[in-house]
Amino acid sequence: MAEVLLEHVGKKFGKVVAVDDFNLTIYHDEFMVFVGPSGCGKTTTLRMIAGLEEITSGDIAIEGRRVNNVPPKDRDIAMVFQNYALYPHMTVYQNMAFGLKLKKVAQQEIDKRVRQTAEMLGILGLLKRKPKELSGGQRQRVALGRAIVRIPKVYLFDEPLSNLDAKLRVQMRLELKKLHKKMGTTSIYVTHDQIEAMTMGDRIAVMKDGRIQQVGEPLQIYMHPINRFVASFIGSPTMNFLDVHVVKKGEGYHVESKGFSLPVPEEKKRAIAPYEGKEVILGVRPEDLSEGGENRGAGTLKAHVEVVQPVGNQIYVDVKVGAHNLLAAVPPQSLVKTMEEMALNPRLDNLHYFDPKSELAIA
Amino acid sequence: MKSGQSVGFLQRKGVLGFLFTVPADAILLLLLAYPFVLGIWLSFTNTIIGRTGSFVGLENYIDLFHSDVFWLTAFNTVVYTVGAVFFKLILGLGLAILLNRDFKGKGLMRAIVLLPWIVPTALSTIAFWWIFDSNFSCISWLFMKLGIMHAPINFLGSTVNARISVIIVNIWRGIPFFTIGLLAGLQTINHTLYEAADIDGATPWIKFKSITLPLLMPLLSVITTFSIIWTFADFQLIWIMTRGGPDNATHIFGTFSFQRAIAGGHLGEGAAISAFIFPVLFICVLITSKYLKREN
Ligand SMILES: Nc1ncnc2c1ncn2[C@@H]1O[C@H](COP(=O)(O)OP(=O)(O)OP(=O)(O)O)[C@@H](O)[C@H]1O
Ligand SMILES: [Mg+2]
Repeated sequence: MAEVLLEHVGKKFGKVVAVDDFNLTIYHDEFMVFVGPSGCGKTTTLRMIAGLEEITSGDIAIEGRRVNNVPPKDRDIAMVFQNYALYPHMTVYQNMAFGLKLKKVAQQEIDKRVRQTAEMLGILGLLKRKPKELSGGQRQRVALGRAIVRIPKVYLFDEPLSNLDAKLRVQMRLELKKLHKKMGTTSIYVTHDQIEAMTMGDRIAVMKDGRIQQVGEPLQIYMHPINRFVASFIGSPTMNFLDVHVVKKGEGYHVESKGFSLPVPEEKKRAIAPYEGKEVILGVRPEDLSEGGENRGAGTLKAHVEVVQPVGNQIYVDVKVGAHNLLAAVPPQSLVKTMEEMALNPRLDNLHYFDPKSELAIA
Repeated sequence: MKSGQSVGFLQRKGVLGFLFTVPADAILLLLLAYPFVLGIWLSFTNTIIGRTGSFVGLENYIDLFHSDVFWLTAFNTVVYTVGAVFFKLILGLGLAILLNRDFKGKGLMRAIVLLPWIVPTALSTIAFWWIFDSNFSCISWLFMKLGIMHAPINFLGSTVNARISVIIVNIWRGIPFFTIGLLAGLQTINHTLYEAADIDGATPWIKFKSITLPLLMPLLSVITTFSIIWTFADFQLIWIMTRGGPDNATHIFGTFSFQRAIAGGHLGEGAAISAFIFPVLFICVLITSKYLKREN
């Protein structure tokens, strides 16, 4: 039932600006993901919301109440730490009950809630163990359980899955998502893994250097990245960027470079017009380069295959087009071979154009 | 295999390992066990310096049991140990917690705390001797100047004052051991535990009680045991300050034994006195190791 509001929030550590003019509303019941490279201020922002870090400027409000000077325990939040932070000398049960005891919840109620939560997380059999007798995945569940039993207004997660192996991580992602569906509590989730962000977030806030770059639903950000950074950070493998020239051809425009010339789609015409005769950056996602057996017309690129990397569901192909190095992701059935020529057809509607100076998307 | 037999013997479990430790065992035996056994043997004799004694059985012990000074010494030793260790623990822990906080100049403060430990005991004790001097004490001087008192305090001349004085000096000298040891322990406690507790709604006192203390307990018990051992078997500090006086009020086993054995020449009796130190220390170590085993 809680909305979290951040207005012009800033944090400085001495001279280091960790978070700068952070504006965001996290809606009630929403699963919001903060994603960005290491050191971009995700943890700091989360800790400011938790009250573990004082804010240098701006305001934070939870459920309409300004909490700038409210201590963590009175913010009604629960946090799952990256290193779990389980109390090592307490059993799983005691770990989960600790916060409730301090809140003076009746013993019976504590017992009921701990058991219910433990059952939901599949750790009912572990209640008597100490953290050091648990596997990484089990500890993770206990850490989640400790947060869940509290029934707070807001959950804060700081890279809770980063210590798990790949398989367990995928499984826990799903469980967290289910849990959120079931409980519907406002959640803020920090990760540096864009796939995790894409799969889990109702909305994503992409951050860089302490600033929000773009906020939106996962697919919206994937389809319409606002600048070159977001375009390169979201999506895997990373988008290809090419320096190209805009030229007018008949009624429309083309972007050209040595070795190819691609028509700009009708709906981008207005936006690209001012760049006629100038340079822009062309962004092509590897998955938007499909293999074309025969020449399909204006947009086909003649590519020289340099490296072939099968990853199972796809084959990554490093190619050279003119003077540019590109990565293409083609279906596993493809018969591409190193040192051979191949034809690549970019999906023209999915191409991105960026201003070379501001690096903002041209749209 | 020709040499099968000798190789087999050396490879038998533990044999080679035992052989490797023989030199170390021999040194330990020579340096620790020999004086220990000699001491026990002496306590059953009436040896006097300069004359080989003869076996007298439990006579020395029976004499001690009938000696008021011996019982006073036993009492003093317990008071000295309990009093000093208790305050060293409390103050050392408190100081460690303070120094564990983040503040400007904490490096310097940590260095300063070590001072009582770095200065040789003989030297610092002499300084305290002067501080507690019946005529020239700076404390008395200060209080008299402030008009709080009119005559100097007789620190080392009265039984109660003398006991308190030696305990204070022992506390002063022993705090660094607790502080530095516990500070190291505090720094191994994961900082996020306190943040998790903050969010769980813990007050500073609850954080201390429910996180710091239990996690520090194993180290705390080891440090306390060591301190008990050293304090119980102390000698230097008291010998320099009071020589066990006034009126035997500050004699502890170490000083009393030394006085009887070396100063008084009665080696047998002195040995019997110091023999009382062993069982107490042994029990101490036993309790701690039992506790540590259970914790693991
Ligand atoms: N206590 C601190 N003192 C000084 N600088 C800090 C402190 N905490 C964080 N910083 C700095 O603030 C910036 C943001 O740090 P933060 O931990 O929020 O990054 P992050 O996005 O969580 O990165 P990561 O993905 O590596 O966890 C970094 O430049 C970091 O060096
Ligand atoms: Mg972080």
